[in-house]
Amino acid sequence: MAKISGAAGDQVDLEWRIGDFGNEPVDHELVNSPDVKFDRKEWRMQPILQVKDLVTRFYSVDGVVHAVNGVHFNLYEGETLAVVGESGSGKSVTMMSIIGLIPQPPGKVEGGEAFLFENGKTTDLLKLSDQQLRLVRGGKIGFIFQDPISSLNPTMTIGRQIAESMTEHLGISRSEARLRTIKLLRQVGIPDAERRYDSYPHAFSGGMRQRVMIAIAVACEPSVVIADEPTTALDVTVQAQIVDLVKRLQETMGVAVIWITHDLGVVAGIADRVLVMYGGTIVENAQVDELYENPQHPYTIGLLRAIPRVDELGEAESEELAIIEGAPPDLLKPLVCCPFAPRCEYTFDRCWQETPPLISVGDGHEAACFYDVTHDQPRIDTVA
Amino acid sequence: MAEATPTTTLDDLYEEPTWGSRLAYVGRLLLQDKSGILGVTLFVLIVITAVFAPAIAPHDPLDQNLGVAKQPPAYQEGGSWEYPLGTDNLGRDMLSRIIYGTRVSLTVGFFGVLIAATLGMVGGLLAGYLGGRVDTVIMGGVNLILAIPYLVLVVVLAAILGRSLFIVILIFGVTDSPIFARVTRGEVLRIRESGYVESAVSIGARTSRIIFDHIFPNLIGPLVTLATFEMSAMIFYEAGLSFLGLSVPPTVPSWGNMLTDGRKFLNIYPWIAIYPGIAIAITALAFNLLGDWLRDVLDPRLRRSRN
Amino acid sequence: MQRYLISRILQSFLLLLGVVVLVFFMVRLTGDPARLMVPRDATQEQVDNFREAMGFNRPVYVQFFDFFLGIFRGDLGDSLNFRQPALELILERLPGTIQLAVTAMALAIVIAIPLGIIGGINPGSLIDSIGRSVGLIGQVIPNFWLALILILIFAVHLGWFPSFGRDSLSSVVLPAVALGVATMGQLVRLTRSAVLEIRNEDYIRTARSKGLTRAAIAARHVFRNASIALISVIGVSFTYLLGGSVYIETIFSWPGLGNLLDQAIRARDFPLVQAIAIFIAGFAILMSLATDIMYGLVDPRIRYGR
Repeated sequence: MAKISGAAGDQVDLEWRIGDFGNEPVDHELVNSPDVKFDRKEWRMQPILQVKDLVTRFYSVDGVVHAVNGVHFNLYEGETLAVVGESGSGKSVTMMSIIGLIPQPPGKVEGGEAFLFENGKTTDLLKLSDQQLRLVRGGKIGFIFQDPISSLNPTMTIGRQIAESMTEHLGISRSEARLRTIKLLRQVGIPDAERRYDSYPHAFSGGMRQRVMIAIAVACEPSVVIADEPTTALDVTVQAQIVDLVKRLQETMGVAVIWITHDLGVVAGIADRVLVMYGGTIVENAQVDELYENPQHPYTIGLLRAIPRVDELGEAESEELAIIEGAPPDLLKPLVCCPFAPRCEYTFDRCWQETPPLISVGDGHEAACFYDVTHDQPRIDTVA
Repeated sequence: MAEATPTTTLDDLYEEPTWGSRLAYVGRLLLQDKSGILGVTLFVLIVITAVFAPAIAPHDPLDQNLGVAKQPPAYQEGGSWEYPLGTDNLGRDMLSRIIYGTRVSLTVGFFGVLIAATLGMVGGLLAGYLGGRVDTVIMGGVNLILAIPYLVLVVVLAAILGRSLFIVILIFGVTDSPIFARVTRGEVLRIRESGYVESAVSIGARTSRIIFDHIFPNLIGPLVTLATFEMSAMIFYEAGLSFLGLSVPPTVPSWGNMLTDGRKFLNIYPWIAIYPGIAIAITALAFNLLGDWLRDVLDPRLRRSRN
Repeated sequence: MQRYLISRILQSFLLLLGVVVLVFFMVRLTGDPARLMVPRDATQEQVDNFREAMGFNRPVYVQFFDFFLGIFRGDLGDSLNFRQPALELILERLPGTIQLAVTAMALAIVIAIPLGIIGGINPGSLIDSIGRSVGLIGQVIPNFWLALILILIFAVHLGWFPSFGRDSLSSVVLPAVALGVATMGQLVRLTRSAVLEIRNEDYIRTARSKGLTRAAIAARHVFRNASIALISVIGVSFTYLLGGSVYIETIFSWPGLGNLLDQAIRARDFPLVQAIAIFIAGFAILMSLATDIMYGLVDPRIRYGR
């Protein structure tokens, strides 16, 4: 059993799904410095990123792929927002669309707004020119990608790959960038940093490479870091170390993290808030403990039920694994009803007629569903 | 209480493509790609020219008529429409010779590639599937042949073995097989790695069945594309060999032979050299464009998963 | 790096060995090499004498060992036609071929690579279209025909360049162009597709996510990786160039190995043919090795790898 700080400084007990975090050598310099802790009580107030009605489509030989169909969420300063969903749910495309990292010829952001708020300035990300977007990327929003092996340039030293971000955005000299990079390498837990600066990616293990990726992402101390399945390609033990590293960095830098994953275990370990996506839309948005204790959307319920639990052996009615019947939606067809309807056990006629918007179902908890699972009846007041 | 709802079954999501739908798809792809259209059209025209040569050619390509020798093409002074591209030094009609030359080129290209592809495919399959010593030996042979500059290899062999269409085809077939072997082996290894061969083996499928059902379909794409490009290359090399006097006998109308003649009279009767070269270029263009288009059509279709 | 080097050198050595064996037995394919080399009107007695004198009556493996050992002494056989040791003739002509091949390669690289890179970075642009057309034309025009056309236009009609011989600096222009065009075509296409492929790599996405300028991405990330891929391509193209020199040198009466080979074949001088074939192949293998070494030096994965 471990304790996490939840909203407003409360402590919540949560069961681990993935076992304890590894024995990381602690960087004492970091932990004991006085002005390190970022005060979590404040973070609920200001959103740092606000996305409304985002629509992205891909035009391919086979037809139009409706990858993102009206996505709506806020990211608050300093919080960790997990975005959960299966392949094809649109979680990566949504985030990539915001800063124009989707391949533009087949892909196109067709609608919506995305605002970045920092230092009192508001930027509409979708309306930025290429030039302006470049300033945001890396400088204000950092990225961690899934596969550290292919995401690093094999012909450039890792030190330079980190430093080039700094020289680009912070306007400092190469030598200054080198010094800062070495310090950053130590912070992310790469031993012998001075020498490793001049090493090439192939000389590192998967976990180490991912640390380099993280260093690249936070090099310019951005306000937001978007991590697209950063632990999926790693061993389980290494996963734990990376999750821990991101958490620590978050505490020192006060950066908000969007953590895209399909692994609910990781979500339990790191998230403050969770977005569940399906069929290119958000189907549920809740604080992490609320989500696990009181899921409101049938898809979320199905997901949580599907997690095999060792402590239920012998207690459950049947020993079969619970699955969600059916298959993911065909994104070539536009969204006209609830995307989950074909697989849902609670559907009624309204589900097939309109796409449910996100409806408030509790304090800070929204679900895109017309059916009230808790009370086993369609929702009475269905206006969000 | 919720009503019974229809669930989406897997059958609804995936439709097996029929030949009709495949053809329609290919047709759509073709229309989108202008160079592909050009390639296919030219290719078809060239094949028709070769097959129906006797019907299309205005004269007998071997017919020497010294009376009209060295006549320029129709659009120049002294030319006539009876011999639209002029005549060569022995009074043979250039146009007819070029038309008949198509036959030599396509024959060499087609049969040469047939032999090369067959040998190469067998070699590549054995090397890729059996691995170990067999692989080392076969790939050693492949690398050996590929280490020698191709033209040098072919020229020496042709010089030794003699001048005939059959020998030239054989030479090309054998010397070009390493490329097919390499590509086949690459594909076989890739398929082996991808695991579904393993699963086939694990359910006890016979080796020949594995090869036919799993490996062949994936080989077709890359090999057909490769074959198209190699045919183009062979046509080039055949012309080159003829040019050096090592391919078909001088009486047979091949474009390379015509170029050899043309070279002698380059200053005075340039058309003897110009037109055969253009014919070679157009044929090579057709095959290249066709090959490019085939590569686009066959490759992604086979490897992309319908999602 | 060392392992890579040693393995490549060993491979090259084995290949060279294989080439010697191959060529040697190629010449004896018909079973009676004597018949191959004597004039057609020779009497049976002349043929038999010839066979005896050349040592073709000895068992094949004896002939081979003799020849093989001779190589280490620098003896590649004697030319029947020129009545000189083959190696001498070859070394005499070698500079000519090298000059031609290097010039052709340089020409091809200077034009093709920039076109290919720009085309790959801006697909669909005007330069890309130009590049692709150049690429296609280069691959489609037979170089021996191009040689004739070039002679026709630039030597005969315009008189700008000589059409034969190796006398002046301008002599190399037409032959180099004729030889290099095909390689240029190939290089444009390969460069372009290498650049396109690299642009789709994940690390380019990372570079974009860092907010780097397009120029920085092109120079530091795309170009570096593309040039590594191109090194091998250039090595292979060189082999191809060596082959093409056979007819280009013949057409332009350029004194080089290709020309020599053609002459030897016409004269049925197979000992010389054998020697030239082995030499050219050996040279190609050497170039290939040199290319691989360069590749090993430039790619950090090999240079610093284990």
